[in-house]
Amino acid sequence: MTLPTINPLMTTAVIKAVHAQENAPVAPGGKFLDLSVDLTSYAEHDCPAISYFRIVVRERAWVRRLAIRAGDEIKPGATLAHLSTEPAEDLDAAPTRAARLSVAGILYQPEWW
Amino acid sequence: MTDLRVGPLDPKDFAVVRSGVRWLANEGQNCRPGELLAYCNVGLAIAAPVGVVPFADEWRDFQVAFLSPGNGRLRRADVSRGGFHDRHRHHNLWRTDFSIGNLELRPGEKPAVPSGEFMQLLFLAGRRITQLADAPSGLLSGWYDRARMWRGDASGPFTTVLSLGICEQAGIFRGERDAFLELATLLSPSTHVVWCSDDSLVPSARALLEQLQRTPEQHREIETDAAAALAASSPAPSGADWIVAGSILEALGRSPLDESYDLLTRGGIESTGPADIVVLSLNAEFASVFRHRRLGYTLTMHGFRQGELSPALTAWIKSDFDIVTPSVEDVKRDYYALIDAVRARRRVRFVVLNVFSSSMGDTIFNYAGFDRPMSDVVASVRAKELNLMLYDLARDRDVHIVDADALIAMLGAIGHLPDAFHQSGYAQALLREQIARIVNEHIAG
Repeated sequence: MTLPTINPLMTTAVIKAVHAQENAPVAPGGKFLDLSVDLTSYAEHDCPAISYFRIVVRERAWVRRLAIRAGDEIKPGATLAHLSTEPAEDLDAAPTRAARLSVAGILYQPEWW
Repeated sequence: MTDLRVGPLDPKDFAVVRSGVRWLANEGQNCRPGELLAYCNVGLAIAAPVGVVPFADEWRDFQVAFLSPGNGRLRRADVSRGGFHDRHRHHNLWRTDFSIGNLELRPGEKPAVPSGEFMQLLFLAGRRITQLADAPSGLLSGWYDRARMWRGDASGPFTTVLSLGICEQAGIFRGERDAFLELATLLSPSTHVVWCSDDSLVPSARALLEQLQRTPEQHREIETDAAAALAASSPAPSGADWIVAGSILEALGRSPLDESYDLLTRGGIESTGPADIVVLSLNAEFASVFRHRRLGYTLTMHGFRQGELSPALTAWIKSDFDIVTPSVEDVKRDYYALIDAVRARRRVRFVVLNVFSSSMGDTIFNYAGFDRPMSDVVASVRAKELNLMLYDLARDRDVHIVDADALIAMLGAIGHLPDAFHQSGYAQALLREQIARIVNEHIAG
C-alpha cells in the first residue's frame, strides 16, 4: 500500500492518525489512516490551504507491517503498509499488486488538537 | 488637453492637508476615463473647535486615489517630493486648483467622454490592528482589521456594504491591488464598501452574534482572564505571543455589524452606517472552533494559524478552551439568531457566499469508513449540507445566496480553485460582478 497522489500539487503528506493495527485484519470500508496535505510548498501565501484526507481499504486484507506512524511526513509513492490476503503469506516476496483504496477529504478532527 | 486638478474639498471646521503625490501611472501613459493615476495621504487639520475628530481610528491610513477624468497621454507635473513628504500628510494644504499634470490628446484625437472638470476622487481608509503596524508603502498597505472605500464625488445618502468573510472575500472585495479598484468600477457611486479582516477572529455567525451581544464589561472580563492566564502560563509568552493574543482580544471586543463610519466627500464630512448590506461566507463556518470553558465565548481561528501557535499560546488554549465541532444544525441556528438579532435593530440585506462542495481527490466507493454524522467527518458532505441549509435560510429569512459552488464547478476547480479556497482572478471577477449586481439592485430599490 503506497501513498497516492491525492492532489497534483502536493509534495508531501503528514500522517495524522493510523487506525489500522499490525497483524490484524481490515474489512472493506475499514479506516486505515488520516493525513494532511499542506500546499504551502507549492505556492506560499498568507493563508495556506491545508487539507485532510482519510484512506480507507476497499478489500478484505491482513495488515502485516505498518511503514508509517502518526507525525511522519512522507512523499507520494511512499510505502504505507504491507497487506496480504492471508495472515501467513511470505512478506519477503515482491508485492503482486497495489491494495485497493478509497480516499476522501475529511474535516480536522478534534482529537488531533 | 485635460488639466488634472483635484477640485474642492471643504469640510466644515477642518482644513484638508495632504502629502506629496505618489504616481501609479507612467509619464506618457495612454489613460482612459476612470484609470488610476496617483494617490496621496490626506488628513484633517482642525480649523475650529470641534468635539469628536472624524477618522480618529484611521487618521494615519487615510488616502485619496486620483482617477482620470478623461482620456489622453499623461503628462505628469512635478508634484512628487519623495521621502517623508510623500508619506506625511501635513506638508501641503488641499487647494482646489492644485493640478498633478494633464492629459494630452493628439491633433484630431477626440475625447472618449466629455472630460469632468476635476479628477474623480476615490477615498480609502484603513484601521490598524495596532498603531505600531506602520506599513505606509502603498495603497492600503498596512495591517488592518478594517479597510474601506468610497467615492469623493458622490453625494449621500451612502449605502454601506460590509464584507465579513475569509480570504475568498478579500480577493473579491479588495481586488488585485488591495484597494477596491475593480469593485469601485462596478458599484453605484453612492456605495461605501467596508472589508473586515479575518486575521484575528474568523467571522462565523456565532462569533459575530457574540460580538454583537457582548457588553464592554464582558469584554473586559475576557481581557482580564486571558491576561492572567497567559501571565501564569508555562512556558512564558514571548513578546510576539502578546501581539497575537492582543489582536484576538481586540477583535473580540469589536462588533463590525454595529460600527458607524465617517466619510469625506466634496460636500463635506458625512456619517453613515451601520451596514445596510452584509456579505457573509459559509466558508467561515469551521468544523472545529474553540469555546472558553469558564466564560463561554467562541474563538474561531484558521487551522493553519492553530498550527503556527507558539507553545505558550497553545498551552493557554488547551487549558482554557474546549475544541468543539458545530453541527450543520448549530450553524443554521447561529445564522438565524444572527440575522434576527441584527434585524431587530435595523433593516439589513444579508448576502451569503456558499462553499465549494465538489470533492477533489476523493475516490469514495462506500461510506463505511466514515463515522456518523458524516457532516462532522467528510468535508464534501459537510459542504453540501451547509449549502442546502443556506436554501432554508434564504427561504425563511430572505437572504441572497451567491452560488460560488456552481460557478467554480462550471469554470473548473483545477484551474480556478485548485486548493479549494483561493480563486483565480477570473473567478473573483465573476463573483465580484454577482455581488455588485445584488448591491446595485438593492440601491435601485
